[in-house]
Order: sequence, then C-alpha cells, then structure tokens
Amino acid sequence: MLLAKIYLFNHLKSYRTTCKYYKRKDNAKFYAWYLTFGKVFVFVFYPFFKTTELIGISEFIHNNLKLVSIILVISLYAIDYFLVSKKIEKIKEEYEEKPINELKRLQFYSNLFLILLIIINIVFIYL
Amino acid sequence: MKHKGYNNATSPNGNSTAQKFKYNGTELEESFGLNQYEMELRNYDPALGRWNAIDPITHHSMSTYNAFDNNPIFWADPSGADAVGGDGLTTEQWMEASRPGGGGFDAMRSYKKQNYMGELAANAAERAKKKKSTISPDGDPTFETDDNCPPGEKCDKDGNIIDRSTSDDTLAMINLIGGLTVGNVNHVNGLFIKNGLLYTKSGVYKLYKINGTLNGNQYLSGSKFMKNTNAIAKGAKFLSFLNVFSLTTNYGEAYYTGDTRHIVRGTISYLAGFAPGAGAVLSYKVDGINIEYFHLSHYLPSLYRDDIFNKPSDLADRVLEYALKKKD
Repeated sequence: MLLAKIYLFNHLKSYRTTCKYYKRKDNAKFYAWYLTFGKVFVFVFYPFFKTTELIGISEFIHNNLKLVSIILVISLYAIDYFLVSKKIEKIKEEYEEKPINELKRLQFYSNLFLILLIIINIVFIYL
Repeated sequence: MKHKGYNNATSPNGNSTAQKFKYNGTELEESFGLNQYEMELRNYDPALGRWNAIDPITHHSMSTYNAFDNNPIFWADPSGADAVGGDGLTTEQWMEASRPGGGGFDAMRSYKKQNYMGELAANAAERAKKKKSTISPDGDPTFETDDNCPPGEKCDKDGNIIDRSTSDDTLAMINLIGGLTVGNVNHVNGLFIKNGLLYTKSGVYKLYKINGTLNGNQYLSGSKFMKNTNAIAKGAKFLSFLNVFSLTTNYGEAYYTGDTRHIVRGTISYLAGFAPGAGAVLSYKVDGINIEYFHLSHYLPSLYRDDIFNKPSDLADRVLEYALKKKD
C-alpha cells in the first residue's frame, strides 16, 4: 500500500513537470508516465536482470529481449492507464486537500525508498 | 620518339627512391634539405624528435607535437595519427614490420589480422572440443558462427554482421509512424483551431471570438475521418510509447554484453523521446546510429588508451625474453 502511495506521489510530481512543457493534457499524461517509467527503470534495471539470472531465466530473456520488454512496457502502461492516468485529475485534487505534514511524510518515504533502491543496487553489483 | 633528360626513375625496387623508405617504413624526404620523414598525415623531424604539425588525436597528458609518446622503442607511428603498440603481434612479426622497408604500419595491421583470425579459429576449435555434440563423425569440429562475430555485434548463420538498424527496423518504423501521426494530428488540430474550426469526437464546431477568446457552439457537418482525429491521435500515441522500448532493450543488451555504449545510446534515445511531436523521429534516428559512435573515446580522446577498452600490452616482456634467449 505504501509502495502504491509512493508511486502515486512520484507520478504526480512527474505530471506537474510535464504539464509545464506539454500544454495538451493528453500529452502531459502520457509523458508523465514516460518520465516515471524512465526514472524507476534506471534504478531497477540492474537488480531486475540480476534476479532473472539468479532465478535462471536469464538466457530466455536475453534471447527474447524485445518480446519481454514489449510485454513489460505494455503491461506497465496498461496498469498505469487504468489505475492512475485515467483519473489523474481526481487524484490531483485529493492530494491538494491533504495536509502538509502528510505530504512531507510521503516525501520522506519516497526518499527512503530511493536510498533503499541504491543500496540494493550496490549489494547486487558486489554480489 | 624518346625524350631524354627527365623521368629518370624507372624501377621502384633497388634504386635510390626505394632506398629512401627507412624508419617506420616511411619515406625520408631529402629535397630542399628538409630531411623529414613523410608519414601519411604529417611529417616527422628526426633531428628534433618532434612532429612539424599538430596531432589529429589530442592526448591531454602531453604536447600535440610529441612523437611516439616519448618512447620510440616501444611505440611506432607510421601514419602520423596515433602511436601503435605491438599488441597481438609476435616478437618476430614486430621486428620484421618495424625494420626499414619491412612494410611498417600496413604490415603490422595484416599480421594482427592474421593472428586474430588464427586465435578465433583456435578458440572455436577449443569450444567445439568441449561440446562433444558439435564434433561431426569425421572428427572435424564444426565452428559456431558466434565465434567469428565481433563483440557487441550480432551475426547471421554465414557469419555476416547484422546491422542493428535493419534488425530493429519494424519496431522502430512503427514507433516512427506513431510519433509522426501524433505530431501531425496535433499540428493540424492546432491549425484548425486557429482558423476557427474545432473537431471533436461528437462533431465539428465553428468557433467565434468574443472579447478576444474563442468560443464554440455552432455544429457543422464534417467527414467521418475528421471526426475521429482524436481516436487516431490516441492510437498513434500508443504506438509512439515504443520510445521506452529502446531504453529497456538497450539497457538489457548492456547488461548481457557488458558493453556500456548501449547505456549511452539507450539514454540518449529515451531523452530524445521527450521532444514534443518530433520525439519519436529523433528517437528512431538515435536508434539507427551505429553503436561504435557511442564509444566515449570519440568524445574524450584522453580515454583512447584506457585499459578498460584496450588490453595492456605484454610486448616489453616478450622483447626482453627474446633478447635473453638470443644471448643464451
């Protein structure tokens, strides 16, 4: 649940930045997902490929890299589209009503999560 | 009819011109009292031990007129571009190539190629020995095509390198078409709105200005195609998210091959996708560029002889061994 909250919080941050540059709302929504995906992927890709190696499906993924990434990207986009992008205005309004303390707490948790990801990366590199 | 008094040079072998090919296998220019070696790119003055022109590849650790990295015994520089070491050469080959008239840089290159092909064949044979199933009943090992493939490239069954720009063409083209459609539909919509027309899902509206702002309520009949522009834009946007695809595949390729150039290309392609309208086009262009051009040495020449990219040479040790053997 906390993970979903952190994702929503970061998605909204991306949406705020994309709204500045893309005046059409459709485009802003799309690029918000694009930015969020990029940010998450850069921190997650090493542990992701490493875990596939540990599980033993590394060779399959390397041979079908295109297919796997298409499935990954489309499924993530679909989840994001139905759960976040479709009702992003509503979510935005809800967040605007929240007290500052709660937002600060979310910011703290998302920073904590980022540090955790970096530590996981370092651990996986020296594994 | 025979003219006399000029064009006296006849045979290139054994005459005075042929004797001029000396140090590094290059010609010593003696006319006008220059006494300089004429390399391909610039001249070398043996009296000074320096080049007479600036280095085309700048090493930030030394002067651009500096020859052979201050070590003319270890390095050769027959082209004038960059010092060449004896990596991948046997001591005999190195001695043969660097003696006067020995062929210099070209000879070294051909020796290296020979040795490299020999190594590849030996490696393939070794691997074939390990895999019993790949040895044919006659006892001849069947070589895997992957062994003849340079690192970071993909090859077909015959060993030809498959260009990445063609192998990923279908997806890249879908991405490109999607991106172009998004850009065009948005552009056309913008033009229509400027000219007082608004196309939506429900119909076409004529806009009129009140106090400088556009308002719309007058319904016009439009063609079915124009009514569906929003649907087309949505579909095209779905295709254009394949920009992200280049990020995932490039990073994956970097992880599996250990080639950091894929990370550079993936990141640039991903960032190019943010350009409004033209993002997919730029991303497609970046994906099409040969992976070689993402090597950092193209942009940071001081990394040119980094150990990560080029293995260190053991030539000095081998020369010493050779000299000691000769002594014995």
